[in-house]
Amino acid sequence: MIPPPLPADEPRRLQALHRLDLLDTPPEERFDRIVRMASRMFGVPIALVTLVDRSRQWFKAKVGLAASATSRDDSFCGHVILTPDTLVVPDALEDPRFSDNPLVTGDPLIRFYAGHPLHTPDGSRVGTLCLIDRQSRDFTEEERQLLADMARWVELELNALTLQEARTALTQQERFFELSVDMLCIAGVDGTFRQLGQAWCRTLGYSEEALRTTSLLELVHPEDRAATRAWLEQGARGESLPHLEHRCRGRDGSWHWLQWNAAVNPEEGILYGVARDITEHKRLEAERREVERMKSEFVSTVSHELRTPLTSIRGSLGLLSGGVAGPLPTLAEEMIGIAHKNSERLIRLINDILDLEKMESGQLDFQLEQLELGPLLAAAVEAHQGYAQQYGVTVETVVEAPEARALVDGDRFLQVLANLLSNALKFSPPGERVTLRLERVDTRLRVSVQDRGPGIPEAFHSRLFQKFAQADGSDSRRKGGTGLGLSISRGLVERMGGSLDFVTAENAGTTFRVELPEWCPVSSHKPTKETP
Amino acid sequence: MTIRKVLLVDDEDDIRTIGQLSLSRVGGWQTVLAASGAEAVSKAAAEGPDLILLDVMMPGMDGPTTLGKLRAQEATAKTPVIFMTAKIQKQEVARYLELGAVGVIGKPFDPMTLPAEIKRLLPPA
Repeated sequence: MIPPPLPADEPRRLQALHRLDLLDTPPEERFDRIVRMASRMFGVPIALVTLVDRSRQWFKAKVGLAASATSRDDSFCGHVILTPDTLVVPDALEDPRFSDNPLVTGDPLIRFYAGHPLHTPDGSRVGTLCLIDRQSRDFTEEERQLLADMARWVELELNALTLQEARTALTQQERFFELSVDMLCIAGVDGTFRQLGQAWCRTLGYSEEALRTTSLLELVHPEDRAATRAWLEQGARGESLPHLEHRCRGRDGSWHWLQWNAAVNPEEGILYGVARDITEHKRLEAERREVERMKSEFVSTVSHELRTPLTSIRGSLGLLSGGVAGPLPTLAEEMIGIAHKNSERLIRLINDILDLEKMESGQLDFQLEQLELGPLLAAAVEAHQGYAQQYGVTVETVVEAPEARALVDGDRFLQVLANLLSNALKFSPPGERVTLRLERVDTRLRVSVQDRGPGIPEAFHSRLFQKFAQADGSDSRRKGGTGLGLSISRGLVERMGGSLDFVTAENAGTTFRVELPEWCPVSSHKPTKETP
Repeated sequence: MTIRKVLLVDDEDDIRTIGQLSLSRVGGWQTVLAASGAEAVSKAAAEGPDLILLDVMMPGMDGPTTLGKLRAQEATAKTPVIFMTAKIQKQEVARYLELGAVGVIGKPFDPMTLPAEIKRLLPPA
């Protein structure tokens, strides 16, 4: 007798066999029916589904045999798993490998054997479907084919989810359904619940039984019912489901905002859904919006209320300074001048705060038009001539891209230029010049304002565009700024689709750069007006 | 156009005082005052001003409503009106111009330059 040698992939083969989790499990009808059928079809007394373990072959299904396993050394099947082919032994007594095999010389007195290997998905041969007769016989080619087909059927069963696996999967799923903070459910596309997570009961206060006998639609707020129904119908048609938000009634009568994330299996008419209670989130969101609205209204009202007395203060001081009430004593004139200047500053501050508030609440009023930037630069310089003289600074304009146009709000663009220019003038030493330049950089237009001042200290770079940012409190006060200008300017430039940045070096000056997309004349021949 | 007489309408006493000083002393115009929309409508009919400076936010009858009343009475149907407002939002300016105002002046105004600003808004003489 020649015992079967071990296949080359024996360790991997054994792993694959053990992964099946079938060894030493009770008989199962799905395998039993195959061996019964094989025994009848081939007219043999014995048919087996065997699994070849480390030292034995174990029978998962058997017909005509009492033993549940035999030694691997004595086994015919140990030979079968060596190749992908069917092994046929027409007469064991004539085959030197088996003639003195105890299973041939003794019970069950094997004469004829035909076995086809069984494969796992990774190709390992873990066992056989085999036929045994106590008489020698031939095995036709057609019979070989039939046996191979039946072996493939066994393989399907072998690799199908086992009962145990199915049970494990189900337990895991049930655990998730129990533990999930979100409300998991499986429901029909008509809205009837089939399976529910515990979170449903915890959130809405109903028992699971009550929910199972209630349609989702009955729980939904009447105002949200039509949208929910449409959503379910969309699922029933097999369309992918968008997020849904609706209100569901709790047992105590309270309404809960639920946000759904769901998918459907249209063939089965089943919806797999995860609902999340976002009631608190909604409440906070509404509260936040209300606070935002109140803040906005407060700022607007306060600013407006401040303007009225300021109109009188500034007006009176302006008239006095302007000599409308006659000449003033020198000291009084000086004091009135200080008061007048500071009332102007207060007005600027209020205007800046209002602008910022509007920008943050998205209410800033914008009128984008495709405008030539050159004339806007000229207007800005013109408006700042007096200011420049006050500081003894000259302003030069370099327009390298005449006629270049961009989509801007003219007034707001001038406001940005005014801010950058006044900063540059303030920080320039007397006798210096400030350069305002318009040029093309790739496909964009760059407007830069360059001063020859002290530069911005590095420690201040990151805070430069923040509100009320000042490099040095005393310095800023000396320069009379509000600390809001750059923050507003950047916001305005961004609203116009551009960017605002700067380059600076200590004692070598600072250049602020506004970059905007150039309005391309090819895209439109007519001037257009746009109000976002 | 030539201005001789201006009607200034504002519910704030102080602003009326400053406005009057500005219009009369800086602008050199005769100035008539009204403290409400209703007073403005009757004063305008009685005085026949060349121009009306009209505050937007006033209790009772606001600026735009007052403008409607002014337009409805024959004596003031064509008198140029300039609005004054602290809320100088673009959309609002556009709305006031649509109502028939010749311009809008923001508050706080500078009394030393107010007459010049008014002249700038009016059609040339």
